Amino acid sequence: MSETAVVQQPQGAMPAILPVVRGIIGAALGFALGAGATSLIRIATGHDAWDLELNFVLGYTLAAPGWLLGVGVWQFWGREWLGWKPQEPLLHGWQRYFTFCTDHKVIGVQYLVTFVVLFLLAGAFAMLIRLQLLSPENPVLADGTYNRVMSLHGIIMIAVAVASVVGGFGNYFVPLMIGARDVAFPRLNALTFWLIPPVAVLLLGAQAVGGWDSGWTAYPPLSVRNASGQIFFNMAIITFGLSSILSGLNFLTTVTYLRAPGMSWGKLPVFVWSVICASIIALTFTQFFAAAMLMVTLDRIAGFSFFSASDGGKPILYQHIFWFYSHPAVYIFALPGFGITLEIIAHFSRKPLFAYRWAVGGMLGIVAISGLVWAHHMFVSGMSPWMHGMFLVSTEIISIPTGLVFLSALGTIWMAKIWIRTPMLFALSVVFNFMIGGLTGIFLADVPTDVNLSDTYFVVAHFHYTIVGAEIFALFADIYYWFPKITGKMYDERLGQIHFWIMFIAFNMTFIPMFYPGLHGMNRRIATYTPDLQGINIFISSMAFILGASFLIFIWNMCYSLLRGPVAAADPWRARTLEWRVSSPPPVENFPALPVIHGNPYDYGVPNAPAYAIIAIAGASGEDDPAEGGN
Amino acid sequence: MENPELLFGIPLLIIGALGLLVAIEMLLAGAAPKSKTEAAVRAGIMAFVGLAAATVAEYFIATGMSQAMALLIIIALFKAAVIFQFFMHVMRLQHAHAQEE
Amino acid sequence: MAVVASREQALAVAAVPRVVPSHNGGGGHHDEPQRPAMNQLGLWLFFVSESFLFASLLVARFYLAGTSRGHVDQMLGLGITAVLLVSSLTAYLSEVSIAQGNRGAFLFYLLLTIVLGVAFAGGVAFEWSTAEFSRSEPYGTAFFTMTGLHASHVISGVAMLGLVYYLGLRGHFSAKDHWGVEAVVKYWHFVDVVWVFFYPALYLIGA
Repeated sequence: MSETAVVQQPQGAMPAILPVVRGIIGAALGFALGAGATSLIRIATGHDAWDLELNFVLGYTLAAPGWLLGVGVWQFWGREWLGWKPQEPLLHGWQRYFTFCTDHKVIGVQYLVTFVVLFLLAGAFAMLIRLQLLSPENPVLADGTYNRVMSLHGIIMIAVAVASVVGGFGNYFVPLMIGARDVAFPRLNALTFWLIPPVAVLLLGAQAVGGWDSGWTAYPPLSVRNASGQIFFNMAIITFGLSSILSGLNFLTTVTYLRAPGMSWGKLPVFVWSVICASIIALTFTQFFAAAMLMVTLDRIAGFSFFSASDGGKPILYQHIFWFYSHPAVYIFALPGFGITLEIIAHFSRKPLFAYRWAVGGMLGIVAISGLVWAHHMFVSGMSPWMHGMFLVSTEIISIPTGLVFLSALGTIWMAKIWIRTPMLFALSVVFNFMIGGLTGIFLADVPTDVNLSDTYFVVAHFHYTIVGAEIFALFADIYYWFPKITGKMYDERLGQIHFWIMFIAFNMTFIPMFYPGLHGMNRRIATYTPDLQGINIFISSMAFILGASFLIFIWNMCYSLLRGPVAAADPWRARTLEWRVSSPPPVENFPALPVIHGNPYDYGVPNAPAYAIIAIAGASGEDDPAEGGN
Repeated sequence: MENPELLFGIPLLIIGALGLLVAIEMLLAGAAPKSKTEAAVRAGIMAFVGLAAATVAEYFIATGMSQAMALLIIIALFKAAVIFQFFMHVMRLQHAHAQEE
Repeated sequence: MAVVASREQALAVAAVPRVVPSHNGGGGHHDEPQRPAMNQLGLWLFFVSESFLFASLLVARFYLAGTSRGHVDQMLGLGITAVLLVSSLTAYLSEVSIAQGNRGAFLFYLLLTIVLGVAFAGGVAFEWSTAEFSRSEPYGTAFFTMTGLHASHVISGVAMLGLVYYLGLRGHFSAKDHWGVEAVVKYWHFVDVVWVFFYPALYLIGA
């Protein structure tokens, strides 16, 4: 299209806070417009002027675009839609992190910091839950409040699981690892991040109107009848889903077309493969969560009867649609976790990744089967019994491709000379935790045992083993592994290992005992339990507090190292993949010239293995010539 | 299904659809168009004729005859395929890809 | 201090005078040969994603109401289906015209498409106002949700076609550079494909 105007603004000319202020003004205008129009129509048709949920939904429908346009979409993108020249955000330094910046590395850091903060916040809610469960006599929270806290913990952690690794590290490192200068659609990428603040505001703001107590799963009929906070939750999910879908689209296009010369599909780092797999799931299945939320919203505000059994609706429809997304969603959480685990295990075992093709095939196999297993969440829902056997079998089948990934990790460790550093400790713990998560999953996939274990703390323990054990541990492996690359500083190895051991032991001491109250029928999502289980609950709670406290070490380590840590070399881990071939932190546009790929990413110790990549040195040829500069 | 004999319509419909495609192909090949534009316009109109015929067919199947859900689904798939192929040029995605490789 | 050096280095690399990246959705880096292919793939992936949304509603329609159907005006249903089908043809002709640089025909067919799109939305609105079933019964729930979501796509499509028309009037787009037209027209065809499945599901199947 038209030439792009480049507005080179001197540093400080645009205060960094300005875009956010503009966004808030845009959101306010949008909300006033939407809610105001709704009120006018309501008055004209003889209703009360204000109906909280209806006005809110229609107001938000315009507030969200208003926010986006204000925060930068209009300035840097929307102008083009009217044939004007878009401006180009060219801030430098820390200010970029608060603006609509299209640099994938900035967006990665934005995601990462946002979601680590949200993770710690939701972790604090978990502490509240465990405080409550110290005694069956409701010492801390009222029953309703307990359910609201539990719901908030659930959904924020789900959001963290969906977007922290893919959004944070995916954005930062996928373009670097495939040898690209940026993602395929940089502005769309920035947009996906700026959809996140409304989500956080909605989820926390929901508490002002009563919160919601239906958990992160929001089953009707409760979710059609509870406090108005539910409608905030619904809007948050639809917004977050949009962000997730668009970033999936962006990753798939990026990896398809922007791989460096010579980077065939078989030479992609396995983390990139895992992001591809997660992106496929995010791109497609996420729409079902949005659809489910749309249905709940319509039932609430417009008198539809999707789930109202008295009018012929079917509440189980919700569970089918919801789990058709939410089961594959656990692979959005887990697959990037597996990817980074394999990646780190290969680098720190100093061996080629064992059975690379089988591991990638396993991940693709998980994607292929992920859409066929959802109803194992519904064995006690009252769905048709003929589905039970089918979904039992398909659920057990999906452990086969998962096993391939697992075996690849074990085969790489086998006979390796392991280099123990914090990232490697976390990666190894993923293998251990996921083994427990996988083994206990068998009892939940089999109908006879699941009928008894459904909705007990057994499920809670299993779920936390798979998601925290696999994905959150992998997230921390990631953070330690790439901290020197992102910040240019080295973290404190001793503190890192102390954090690991406390976190690992406290995590296992929290969740292994949790299977026991589950087996004895302690219900999840209920603020109390039978008194005979108090002893074990006190133990679980105290371990959970230690688990929570371990993150204080992490925060201290990160903050101190960022400010005072020693300078990191470009390649502190002596890894072969592309992100270590550039300076720490990487320059804008990543590579002075596009790298050319010759070898395999994991050929450690392979005699006569060709170098993985060859990058022309900056300024060596044509760099000063504007005509050739880009490529 | 109330009238199972309608299932015999399915192969007929597939044959008809294939025949239509062949006819379009032959028409396009037979009378060499003067320009690229003319060829594109002609292809679009042919696709439209096919879609219109399929729509009329499904309307009469559903209202005039008895219910034949499988038939309606197949007609819908046929229509979607025609739009994907002739209006949206889904195959050009492959060409674009091939140029890159 | 050395880290300052590396930051300086990073900025220095960026400061080397060369073509500044534009991140232009239409054109992208001016030296980005993959841009057209990436735009195509991105658009198609968006369609894939959207089709899951519409599929969920199709599933819900049959799950809720089986093959039972409320009373709908068959002639109206056939009518709006035909209108949308014709609009797909005019959208196609509009794209073909601009691809050959024929601005007059491009704008004419585009305007025709917009008029037909508005007519379709009007038909749906009329159908809503005369419907003999309520939204609180299973078929009504499915009918209003599906037609409503589809109509919202039609309206957004009309808005985008209108934007393209405005840009076309002001002399944008050419035979070589008309990705904006192509993308919006493809979106329009996609909306038509959705109706190809919704029409039998809502009007024809069942009794």
